[in-house]
Amino acid sequence: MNKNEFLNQLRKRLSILSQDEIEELISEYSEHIDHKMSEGKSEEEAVSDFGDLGELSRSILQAYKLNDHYTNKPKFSELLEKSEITGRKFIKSFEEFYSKISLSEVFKFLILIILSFGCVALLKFPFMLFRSISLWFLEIIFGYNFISHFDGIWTFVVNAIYYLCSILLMISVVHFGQQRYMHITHQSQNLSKKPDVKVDEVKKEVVSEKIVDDVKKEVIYKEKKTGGFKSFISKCVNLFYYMIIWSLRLLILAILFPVLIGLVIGLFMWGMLVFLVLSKVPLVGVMFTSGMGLVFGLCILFVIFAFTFGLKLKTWKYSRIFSIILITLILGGFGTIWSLNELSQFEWVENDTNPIEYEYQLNDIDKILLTNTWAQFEIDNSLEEGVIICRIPKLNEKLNISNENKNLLIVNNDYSELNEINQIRDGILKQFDALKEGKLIVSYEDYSNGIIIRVNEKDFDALQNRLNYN
Amino acid sequence: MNAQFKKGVLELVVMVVVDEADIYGYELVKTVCEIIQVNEGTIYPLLKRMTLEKYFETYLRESTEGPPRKYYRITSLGREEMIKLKKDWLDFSKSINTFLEKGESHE
Repeated sequence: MNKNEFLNQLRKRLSILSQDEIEELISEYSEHIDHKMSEGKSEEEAVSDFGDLGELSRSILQAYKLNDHYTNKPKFSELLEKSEITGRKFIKSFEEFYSKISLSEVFKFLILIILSFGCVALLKFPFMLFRSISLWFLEIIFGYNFISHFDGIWTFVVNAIYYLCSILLMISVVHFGQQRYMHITHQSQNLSKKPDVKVDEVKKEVVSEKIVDDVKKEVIYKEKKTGGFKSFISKCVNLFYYMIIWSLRLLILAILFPVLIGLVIGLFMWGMLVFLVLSKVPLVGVMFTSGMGLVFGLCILFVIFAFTFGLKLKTWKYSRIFSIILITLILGGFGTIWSLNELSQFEWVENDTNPIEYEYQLNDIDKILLTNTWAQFEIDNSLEEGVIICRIPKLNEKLNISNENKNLLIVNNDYSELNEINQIRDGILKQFDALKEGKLIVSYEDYSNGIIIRVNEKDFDALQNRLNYN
Repeated sequence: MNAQFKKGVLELVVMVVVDEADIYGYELVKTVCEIIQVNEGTIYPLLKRMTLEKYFETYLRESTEGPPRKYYRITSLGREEMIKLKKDWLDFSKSINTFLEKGESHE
């Protein structure tokens, strides 16, 4: 077995460990082999000195306190153990955190929070202004009718961007707090050690602040050892600081929650789109683009979540994130054109909202029953006496003469007793049927035109007498 | 030598070697292997475990040839543990030796 084969097999067997740990071990073994080879051993010999690979990997895993017959699927008990370890780490970091922090940093952080909230509030004004001005321009260009439909969507988009900016701002505050915290624990660890340690990267970043802060830390560190009132106050303030980080995190979570629900609804809609594509409606591009959008949204949500809660995303290097964004933008642009092309293939039809007028002889009708609906009465003297005209829009309202009693006119609303889900379902089914026929319904019924019952002035009283509500 | 004996004492030997001077992985493995004959591969996981248990800490130091090397240094916790293990071992081997010598004199 040569070096690469050995390292690859070892990597496979250690795959349960975290990527960082694996790389660390692999580099160690690789160096070991290199050293041996530089001392004159052959590659094969150097590798065979490690003995049986299975035994080796087992002993490595044992060092991490992992089961030696480990499978790649973590068992429930191991998950429990892991969560327990995480919990302990959390408590430990909490303890460390709140015993090793200085007052000045707390105040700096507090000021930052206040500033960030100020920024969020101030940010609202330019967004509002932008919304109004853009709507005004659009109204000039496209006219009022277009705007009345577009207003809601546009407001939503502007608000979404605003909330995103706010979240980013708050994340940066939380992140700042976390970095502070890490930097502090790092420094206090260094205090107890010899200062000649090689400067690692983290330290390099904070080295400028370190010189001033180190003296301060040392004082505090000594105070810790002796206890005292000052350290007690510092502890209380630190607890407060910690609570602020958590409340900011929860706030971000609260803002993200509706977004999550939106994504779930989006997923549901996407499922219906898949159903449509499966029933051979040419919407592959739309399905592709919206699916990608959903995945991208979920990813963003995950990243925001991870950053807020300080999860390790070491493998998510910036270059990787940028390339993902770039690919998404390219695919998104392509997908949008594809989708638009597909949608343009459909015949765009407007929903038929023309009302239908029914004519009845008043003498034929003994009773008019309005069930769960509302009607408007108009006097129209151009009509002949004894004639009533019912104008019914193509809504859910129905007009029929009762079967049992020929003289009973029933005007009812099918859906008012049932919930709105039925209306939504009907709308969706309608759209589905239209899509299958190569049509796309672009506007829904105009609900403003209700039922109008017209009658000659002389018959008005007679009509009123016949009316019954239910 | 019996593998079980080696296993028990390997940790102590590694600790003593690291305690003498900060040392990097390969050199350590070589030194230890001169003292007890063990599979070279098993020392790295042992080092890893002892680092996780905070007996050792590691740092990187540039080397004249190749990439920077990972050096191991014993911590105060590690040193305490080493002293304890050393004492245990000496007591243990002493009593075993006395016992064995007594047995020999009977023969």
